[in-house]
Amino acid sequence: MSGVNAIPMNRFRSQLRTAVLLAVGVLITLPKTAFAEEDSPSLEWTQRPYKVQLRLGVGSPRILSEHETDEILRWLDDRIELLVSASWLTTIASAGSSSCYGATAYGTTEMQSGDPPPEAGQYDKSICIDISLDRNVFTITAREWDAAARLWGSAVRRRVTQPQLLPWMVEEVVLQSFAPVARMEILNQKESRLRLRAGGLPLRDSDLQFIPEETVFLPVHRRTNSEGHVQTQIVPHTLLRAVASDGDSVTSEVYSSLRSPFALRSLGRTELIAVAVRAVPGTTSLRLTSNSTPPSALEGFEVFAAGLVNASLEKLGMTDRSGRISITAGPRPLRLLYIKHGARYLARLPIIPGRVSEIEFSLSSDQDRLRAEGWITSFHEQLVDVVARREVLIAGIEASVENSDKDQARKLLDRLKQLPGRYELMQEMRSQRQIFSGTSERSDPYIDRMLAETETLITTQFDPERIGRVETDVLGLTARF
Amino acid sequence: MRFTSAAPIESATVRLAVAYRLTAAFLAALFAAGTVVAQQDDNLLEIDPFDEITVEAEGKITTLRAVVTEEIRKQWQADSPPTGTLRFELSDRPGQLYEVSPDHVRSITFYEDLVLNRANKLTASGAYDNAFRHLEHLSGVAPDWPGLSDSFKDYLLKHAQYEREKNNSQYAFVLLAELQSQDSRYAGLEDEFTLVLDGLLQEHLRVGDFYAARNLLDSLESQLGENSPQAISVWRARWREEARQLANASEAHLAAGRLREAMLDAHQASLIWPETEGLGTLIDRLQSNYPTITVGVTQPVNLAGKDGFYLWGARRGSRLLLRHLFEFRGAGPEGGIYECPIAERVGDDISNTIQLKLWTGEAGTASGDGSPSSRDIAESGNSISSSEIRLPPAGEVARRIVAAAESGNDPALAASLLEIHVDGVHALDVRFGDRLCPESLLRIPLVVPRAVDESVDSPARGHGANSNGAKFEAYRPFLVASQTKKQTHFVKNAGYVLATENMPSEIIERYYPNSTAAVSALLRGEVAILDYVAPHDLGSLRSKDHIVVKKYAAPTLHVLIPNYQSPLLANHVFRRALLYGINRQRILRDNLVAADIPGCEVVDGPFPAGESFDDPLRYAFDSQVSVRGYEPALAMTLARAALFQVQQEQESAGQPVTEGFPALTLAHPSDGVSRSAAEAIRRDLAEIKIDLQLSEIGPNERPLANNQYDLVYAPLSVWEPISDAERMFGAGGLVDSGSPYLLEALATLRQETAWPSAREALKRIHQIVHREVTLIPLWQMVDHYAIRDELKGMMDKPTVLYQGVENWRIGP
Repeated sequence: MSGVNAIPMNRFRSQLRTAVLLAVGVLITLPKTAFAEEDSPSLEWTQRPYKVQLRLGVGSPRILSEHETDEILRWLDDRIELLVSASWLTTIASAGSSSCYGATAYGTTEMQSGDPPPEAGQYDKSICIDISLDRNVFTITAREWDAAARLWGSAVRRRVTQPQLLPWMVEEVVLQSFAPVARMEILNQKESRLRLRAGGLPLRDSDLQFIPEETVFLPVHRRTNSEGHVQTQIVPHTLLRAVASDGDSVTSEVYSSLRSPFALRSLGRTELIAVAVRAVPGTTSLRLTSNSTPPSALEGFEVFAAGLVNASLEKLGMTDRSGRISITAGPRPLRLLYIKHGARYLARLPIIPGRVSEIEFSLSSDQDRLRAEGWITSFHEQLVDVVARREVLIAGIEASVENSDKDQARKLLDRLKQLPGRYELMQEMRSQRQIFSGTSERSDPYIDRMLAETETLITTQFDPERIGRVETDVLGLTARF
Repeated sequence: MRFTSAAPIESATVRLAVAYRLTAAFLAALFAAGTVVAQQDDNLLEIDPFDEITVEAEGKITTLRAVVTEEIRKQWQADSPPTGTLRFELSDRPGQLYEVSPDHVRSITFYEDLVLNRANKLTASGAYDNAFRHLEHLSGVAPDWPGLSDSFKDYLLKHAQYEREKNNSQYAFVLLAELQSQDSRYAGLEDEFTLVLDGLLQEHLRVGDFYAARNLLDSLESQLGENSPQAISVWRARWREEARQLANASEAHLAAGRLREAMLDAHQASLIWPETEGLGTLIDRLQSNYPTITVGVTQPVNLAGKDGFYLWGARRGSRLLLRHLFEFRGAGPEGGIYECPIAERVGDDISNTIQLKLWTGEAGTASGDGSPSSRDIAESGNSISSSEIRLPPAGEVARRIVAAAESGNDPALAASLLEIHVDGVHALDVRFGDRLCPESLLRIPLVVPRAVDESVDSPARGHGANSNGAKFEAYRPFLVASQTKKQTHFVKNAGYVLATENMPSEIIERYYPNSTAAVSALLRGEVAILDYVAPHDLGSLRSKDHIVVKKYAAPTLHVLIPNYQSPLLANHVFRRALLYGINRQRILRDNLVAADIPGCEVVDGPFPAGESFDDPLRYAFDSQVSVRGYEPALAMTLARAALFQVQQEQESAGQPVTEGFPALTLAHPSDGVSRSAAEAIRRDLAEIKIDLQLSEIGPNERPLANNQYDLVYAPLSVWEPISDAERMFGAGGLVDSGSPYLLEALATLRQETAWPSAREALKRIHQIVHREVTLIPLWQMVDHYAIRDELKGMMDKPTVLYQGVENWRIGP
C-alpha cells in the first residue's frame, strides 16, 4: 500500500453494533458526520466534539501486512465508535510503511510546544501511532498533537510480543494519549473552573474516563492577533489540579510559583485554555539558576515536597554544584515543591515528575540576606549558650544559698555577672544591624523581622532583675554569716 | 549420756539416766534449732567457726555444731582417745557447757577440716574462685594444717588446666608458676607447663612476634630460676634450629640469584633468632644486592588510598603506591609549594594556566623531594635506560586530569577546570577558571588507585603489570606483595620510571599495637624507621645516640567527623554539647603531649594553626575565633535541649522518636595515641551521660563509608586550605553537612582571585564551621618520625614518610 489510505467513517456498520447504537438513543446513534457538518463556532464549547485524526505507521520496511494494518484500523474504528462515539469525529488513516511523523521523530517524547504534523489540517487532535518491531517485541507509541494549545503531548508506549494483541494495544495507547482540552475561567487566586470541550457530550462507555482523579492540566495562553494568527504560550511554572467534576466542567486548584500567573499583556484576543497532562510518572531534574547575567547554578538550596492534602513537608534533598536535584514521582502526579535557602523559603514550584526531563527555575541572588541570616542564627546559638550557662549558674547559686555556702555562692555569682547581659547583647545587635544596612541598598524586611524578633528575645530572656534577685539572695547570705 | 547445762553433777548413775532420757528431747530441740548438721551450702567463711561432733545415742546418729575445748582438740589430734567426759559448747548457745560421754562420740571434724573439705569439693566442681577463698582462709588461720598444701597444689593445677582450656594462658601460667614455687616436681606440672607455654607463645607466634615470644621465655626463666620448665629450653632450641635452617636457605637462594627469597628467609631468621651465627654478615651482603628497609608503624597501611586525607595509614601508603601529578612539598608564602615529578612547569607561576613540559630526558633538574625526575633517570644511566622509560604522552596526562575531574571525587577540580590544550607529545596547558593555587587541584594520582581487594599483587601478575594495564603503572613506585595482620611487604615496581639505582628493593612495614612496642623494635634494630613517634616517647628517643627524631613538614588536625545521618549528630546544638563535654586541654596535656611541643594545641576550627603565629600554614586560620572550653554542665544542658529538639522534630514528622541518648559509636585509628584519646573522650562524655562505644578502625577499612559510625576520629592533613576547604565541606566532601551558609561561603571562596580576599573567605568558613560545629575539632598535632642512624637519604621534613623513598638506603 502506498500513500495514505483513508477509511470512510459513514460506512456500513454491522447489525449487532447498529442494534446497540439504537438502544443507546437517537442522538448518539446519529452519524458522526452530522456533527462535523454542525461543527461551527456557534456550537457551545462543551457540546463541540473533537475532530480527531488517527494515523498509524507500521515501520519501514513495513512490519505488518496491509491486511493486518487494515484489521487494526478497522478494530480501532469500531472500538472508538463503541467507546467514545459522539465526542470524537474521527478520521483514521494509515501512514503506510513509514513511521508516523511526530510519534517518535522529534527526538524527545516529552510534552512540549512544537510544529504541527504535516497532515494536521483542521483537526483538533492528531494522534500519531507508530508500531515498531525489535527482537520479536512490538512497541506501540502514540502521541497527540493539540491544535488549540499547539502542544505535542507526552508519548505513550506499550510493548507486546503477540501480534494478535496489537489491536488492543493500539486502542489503549490512543485513548491514553488523548488529552482533553478545556477553557479556563479564573474563580480566584487559588481556583479555576475548566469547561471541557465536548464535556457535555456523553461517552458511550461509562467506564471510560478521560479526566480521572488527580488529573493535572497545563494552562496555556492562546492569543489571536488582528490578522487571525494564533500564538500560544504555556503559563510558566503553573499547573492546575482537578479536584471536582461537575458534568461538563471541572474545578481545579491553581498551583504556581508566580503571584499572578495568568496576567498577560498582549494585543489581540487572548483566552486561557488548559490541556490535560498525560505523562508517565518518572523523574525530572530541577535545575536552579540565578537570574543574573550570566546565570549561575545555585548550589545548596534545599527542596521540599509539600503534601497537597495536609501541610506536611518532605525534604527531597539539596541542589548540587550544578544547581540540580532529581525529583522523583510522588504519590500523586503533581508535586508541589518548596525551595528553601538557609532558613527562608524562597519559592514554590509545581511540577509533574516525568513530564519533562529537566526544568530550569531562576531565583534572585540572596547572598546578602543569607549572610545576615547566618550571623543572626549564630547569634541565636550564642544566646542559647549564654542562657544555658546562666541557668546552670543560677541553679548552683541557689543550691549554695540553701546550703549556706557563701564562698561558693559568691564565686558563682561573680561568674554569673561576667556573662553578657541585655545591654551588651543589644549593643552587639545594633552594631551588626549597621553592618547589614551598609551591605545592601535597601533593607530586607525578612532580616529586619529576624532582628526585631531577636531584640524581643533578648528583652524578655535577659531580665537584669533576675540577676539582681539572685545577687540579693547571696548578699543576704553573706550578711547572715 | 547426759546433756545438761553446767549444773552440778550429782552422781554417775543419775547423770546417765537423765542423759538418755533427755537426749531425745534435746536432739529434737537441736534439730528444730537447726544447729545440728552443717548444711552443705553454708558459707563457712562468713559464720563463726565451729567443729562437728557426731554422736550416737539410742541408735540415732546426730552431728552437732559445737566448739570443742582446746584440750579435746589436742587429745583428738594426738589420736589418743579422751579419757574423761567431753565438754563443749554448742555453736548457737555460747556460754553453756555441755558434756557427753566419749563412748557416744563417733567422730569430731574440726573447723579446719571442714574448710579444707569444702575447698576440695569446690576445686573438684570447678568453682575455683570460691575454692581459693577457702584455701586462702585456711592458710591464714592454720597454715600447717595437714592436707592444706596438697589441696592447694591440686587447686593450682586444676585451675591452670581450666584457664588453659579457656585460652587464658597468661593466667594459667601465673597459677603454674605459683605451683612451681611450691613443688617443682608436682605430678603433672611439667606437662601442663608445656601446654600452657605453647598456648602463650602461640599468641605471639600467630602474629609473627618472635621478639615478644623470646622475651616471654626470658622473663619466665628469670622468674622461675632453676625451676624453669624444660619447655623453655625446648622452644629455644626449636627456634635456633629454625633460624639456622632459614639462614642456610637464604644462602642457597642468594647463591642462586633469588634475591627476594634470600632476603625473606634472612629477614625471617633474624626475627626468629637474631643471634644466629653468620646471619648479620648474610644480611649485610643482601642489603647491597637487595636493599630492604623495615618500617615500624602503629597504624597499618590502609590500601584505600583515596582516604588519605583523613587516614594516616592511607596517607603514608599512597606515596609508596602511586605518584601524583603535583605533590605538596611544604608551605610557601602564598599557598603550598608543589612539584610535578613528570614535568617542568613553564611560564608564569601566578597564571591560571599551568603549562607543563613533560620530561623527555633532554634537560632539567632533579625534583625537590630528592627523588629523581624522569629526566634524571634518562640522563643518569641507571638500570633503566632512557629507551625503556615509558613516559605517558601529554594526551594521556590530559585524559587523566579530565578523568579525575569527572570522577566526582574532587569537586574543586571539577568546578575549576576549564580546558586542557595538548601541544604535541610533551606539552600541555591546563587552564583553570579564576583560581588561586591551581596546582593544589592537580594533586591527582597518576595511577588509578586500585580497589583494596586487588591491591595485593599476585606473583603471577608480575611487577609493574596489573589489570589497569595503563601507561601510568610506570608511576607506581612499589607494589603490594603481601599483607598480613602483622606486616605488609612492598616490592619495588620494576617498571617504575623514577626509580634510582639504590632505591630499596623492598619495604616491609611491621605493625605494632602501641608506641612502646614500636619504640622498642626501633631501639633493638628490628625496624629502621618508626613512622610515628608518640609525643611521650620523643624525649627518650632523642636521648639515644643512634636514633634521629625528625618532624613532618606539616601538622595534622585531629577532629571527630560526625555522621549527619544520625538525627542527634545532625543537630548542631548536640554537636556543640559534645564539644563542651570533652576536656580537650586536659586530654592533650595528660594523654597525648606530656611536654610542651610547639604546635600541639587545642584548636577550634578546620584549618591548621601552624606552629607559630607567622607560620605560612596558618593563612586560613582566624585567630579571632575563640576556643570553646570544657563546660560539662553546659554540655549536659545543651545535649538535653538538643535531644528535646530532635524528639519534637521526629514527632512532628511522624517518625520514631529517639528515647534518651542512644549509645554513640566512635571509630578511631588503631595506634596507641588515638586509642588513648578516644578512651579519654569516652570517659569525658560518660560524665555528661552520653555513652560512647569505641571501635578500632580495621586494616583497609573505610570508616566513613556506609555511615556505620556516629563519629570518626580523624587526623586530617589540611595542608592547602584554599582547596582542602572544598574537599572537606563541599558537596560530596568529607563532611556533607548541607549547611547553606557554608556552601555559600565556599562558593565565594571559589570566586576569589586575590589572596587577601581569599584569606577573608577562608576565615569566614572557619567562623561558620566553628559556629555550626560542622566537625568537632580537637587539637592540632605536630607529628614526628624516628630513624636509626644507619638509614640514609631521608628527607629532612617530609610531608609523608615515604616522600623521597627512592633515595633511601641502609649503610654507613
